[in-house]
Amino acid sequence: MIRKRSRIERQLIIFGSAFGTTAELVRGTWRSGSGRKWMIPLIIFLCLNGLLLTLAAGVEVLAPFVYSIF
Amino acid sequence: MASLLRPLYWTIWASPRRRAQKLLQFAEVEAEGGRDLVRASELTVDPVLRRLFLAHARDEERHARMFRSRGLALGVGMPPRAGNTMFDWISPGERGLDDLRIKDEHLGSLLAFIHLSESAAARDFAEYSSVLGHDPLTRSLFDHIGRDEEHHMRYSLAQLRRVASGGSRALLWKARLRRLWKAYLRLASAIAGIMSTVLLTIQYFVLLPPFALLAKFAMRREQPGWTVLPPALDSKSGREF
Amino acid sequence: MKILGISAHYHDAAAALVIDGLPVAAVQEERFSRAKNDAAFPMAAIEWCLDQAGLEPEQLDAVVFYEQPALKFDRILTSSLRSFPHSWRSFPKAMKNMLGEKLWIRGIIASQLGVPGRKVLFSGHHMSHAAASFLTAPCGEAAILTADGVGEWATMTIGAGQKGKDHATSIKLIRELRFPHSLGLFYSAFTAFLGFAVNEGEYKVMGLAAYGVPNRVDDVYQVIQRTADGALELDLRYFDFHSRAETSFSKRFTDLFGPPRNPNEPIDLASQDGRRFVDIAASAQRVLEDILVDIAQALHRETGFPDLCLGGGVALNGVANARLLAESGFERVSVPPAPGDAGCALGAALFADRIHFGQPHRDVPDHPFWGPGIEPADLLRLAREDDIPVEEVDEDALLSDIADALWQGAIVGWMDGALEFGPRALGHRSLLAAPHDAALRDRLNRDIKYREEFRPFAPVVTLEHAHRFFELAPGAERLGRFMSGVFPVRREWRERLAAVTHVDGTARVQVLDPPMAPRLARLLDLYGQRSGIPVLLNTSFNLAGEPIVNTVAEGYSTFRRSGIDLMVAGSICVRKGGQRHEALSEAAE
Repeated sequence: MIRKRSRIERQLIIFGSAFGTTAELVRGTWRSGSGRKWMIPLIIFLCLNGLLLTLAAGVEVLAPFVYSIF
Repeated sequence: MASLLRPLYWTIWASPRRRAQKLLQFAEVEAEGGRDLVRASELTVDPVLRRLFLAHARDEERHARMFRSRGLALGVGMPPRAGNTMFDWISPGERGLDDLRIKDEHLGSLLAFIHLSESAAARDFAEYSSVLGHDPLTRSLFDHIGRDEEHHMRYSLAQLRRVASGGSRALLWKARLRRLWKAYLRLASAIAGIMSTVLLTIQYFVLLPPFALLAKFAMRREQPGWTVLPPALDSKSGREF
Repeated sequence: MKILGISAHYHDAAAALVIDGLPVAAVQEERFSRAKNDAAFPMAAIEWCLDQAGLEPEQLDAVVFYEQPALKFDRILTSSLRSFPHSWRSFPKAMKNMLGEKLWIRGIIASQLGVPGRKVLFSGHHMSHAAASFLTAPCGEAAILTADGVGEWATMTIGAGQKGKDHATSIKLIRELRFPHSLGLFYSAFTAFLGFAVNEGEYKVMGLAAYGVPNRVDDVYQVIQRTADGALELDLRYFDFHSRAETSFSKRFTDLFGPPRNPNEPIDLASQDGRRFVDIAASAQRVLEDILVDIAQALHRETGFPDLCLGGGVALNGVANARLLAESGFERVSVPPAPGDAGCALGAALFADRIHFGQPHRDVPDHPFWGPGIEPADLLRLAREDDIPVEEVDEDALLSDIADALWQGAIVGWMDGALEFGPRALGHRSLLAAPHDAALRDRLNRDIKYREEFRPFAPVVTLEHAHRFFELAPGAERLGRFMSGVFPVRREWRERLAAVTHVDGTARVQVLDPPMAPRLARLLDLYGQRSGIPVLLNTSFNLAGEPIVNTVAEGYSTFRRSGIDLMVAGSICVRKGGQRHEALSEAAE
């Protein structure tokens, strides 16, 4: 039986792990050898947007706004 | 409220093209509602409700066919339209069961939801019929389906009273509140959808151009065809990138 | 080791559980949610897989997602930048999609299952396809070819695999073709042009192609060209999928091929437009096959292996698969029962077991039945409650009765044992009918499946009798095992197999190895004793727009809502007598 977590608990877990994902994305782009290192600032900016909204989505009343924005 | 919206309904239903599109959309919603009811019939342990849900589902499937056939007849020769317009939520069809998770629903709340949903549809279809004097075929379609929806209203209410006995009024109120909540979710999503599109489009035109230029330069260096993967490719890594 | 594989968020989400190197459960989310091709995070499928093994999420050694979301994000962002400013409409949608959910898969899995993030692993999309195909195929070494729309960057890969009992299993992807150049997206553009839903209607294009003449091949080669190294390149001026989310093909495409088909209007073969559509379908199909055969021939020369393992959505194209077998030089071609994205759940789990953790190879049982079983007693209860004639009969009498009913023209809903994993009904959730009568096929289309008349139905025949009725090339039994190849019906049998013979004289035959589905094999024999033809029409047990049935209650409701005459679940059989559909007022009584 899988324990159901509250929305805020789930969003906090996602928020916590998102830094690792962003770091992996940046590291991957840096090492990829595709010559696209210049994309890193844009990637960080977009991921930060996503991170903030992931956190905000934990509040149920705001969730429809937040989910739809991102 | 309904009389205030009448001129708007008239405008929406005046154009044969829009009429065709809306009927085709209604057909999809009815078919979806039918599938929800089939699901409800598969999950319930109450044999009376199982039979009723199945019969109701068949009605919805029949409505879907009727809407579709009229929509196609009106739309002959017209190219299909992509995407939704504002009119889609101003003039809704039956909303199915409002994206209810049938599996997780208590029988009483499901019946309350069905009752309210059918009431709303019967009311809306009567409104649409009243502005369709210029299209007797579509008008009689709405009249016919509207009568069916009234039957659905009655059986769902009767069954709600049977299943929930004294608690049916409370369940109806709860369902009304949930429908309001879902209406809020739809509205919030629609507003947020517009906001997000505007924000991201601004980002697109303000932030992206220099990156786009670099991306186009980088693309020119790429050769068409196969990309040979290095023998030391770290396929065991299990990483996200 | 206990490893859970997950595929989700694009189409056909699924979960699969591998314990000590062997699958114990695999199922698509749509079979529980009842939403066809459900792409949502497969919570119900995961719960069922864990319940099946009596596991808690904490007991898992790893959870493996079938693709690398960060690499996918890289591709989506890069594509938006490359097609600037034409991508201004698709950019907001793509970013909402990725940053709202799909990029944060590690967190989503950790939050939903309660496993620590470090236990969440990722397999490349095409590596998952390759693993799903190669690691389940009965061969020690093989060439591997995967092709679909797009994964992360790759749209097609070629490689080779070797299995070792001593921790030495390897899958080496040698080359890949990258987005936007994609054989899958090429075919999808024609699917959309011909008025069918992308990711769902591709097999309709294949069915339609048989009606046409491939007289537009030169035009098709204008939109897709071969490169000097033997790969392919799309002329992006003809496509829109790389810059817009709504459409697949551009105005230039319609200038070349004419106006697209209105999805709401039927294809009239007698009309000029109808002929144009079927000829275009035939031409696109021919080009797809030619390119695949050419790439496979080169791969055969390069690897020298006798076996080819195919994976990815393109491997659902049975006509192309049969040509690959006949012309590529490979002796056998293996396609798993779920070659599409759903199958990647199993592929990812097997990849983690064999490659990431280096566990020794174990032969995977060669069948598709990894889903939930049935409770026949439910059928007894449901039918009794509804006053429908129902009987519990011993095995011999039951099969004999069903064979009689089939011979008399009945359509039978057949549920037996565990649910199939993948899109095909292979004998556990099937609708069966006599194969000789075209009128029966039309009834099946009209009263049950509600589908276009140009789509053929498939036959099932036992291994023993297959060659008598079908022209099977050497090695075709392997393709036919999971209904993955289209082969000619022998000319002398076409009339007597009218319900399963396509307009071009072919059939997507299931060649049944009796131990895989012994009850169906016995039924085929009994039917053969009555008709002289031990072949049955076998199509999936579902109605249009619905997933294949899973539980007995779902089978029963399908039976009640359609023209199915008889339904069998285990030893329980219900028949539709003179009942008609109840109206609401009658149902309430």
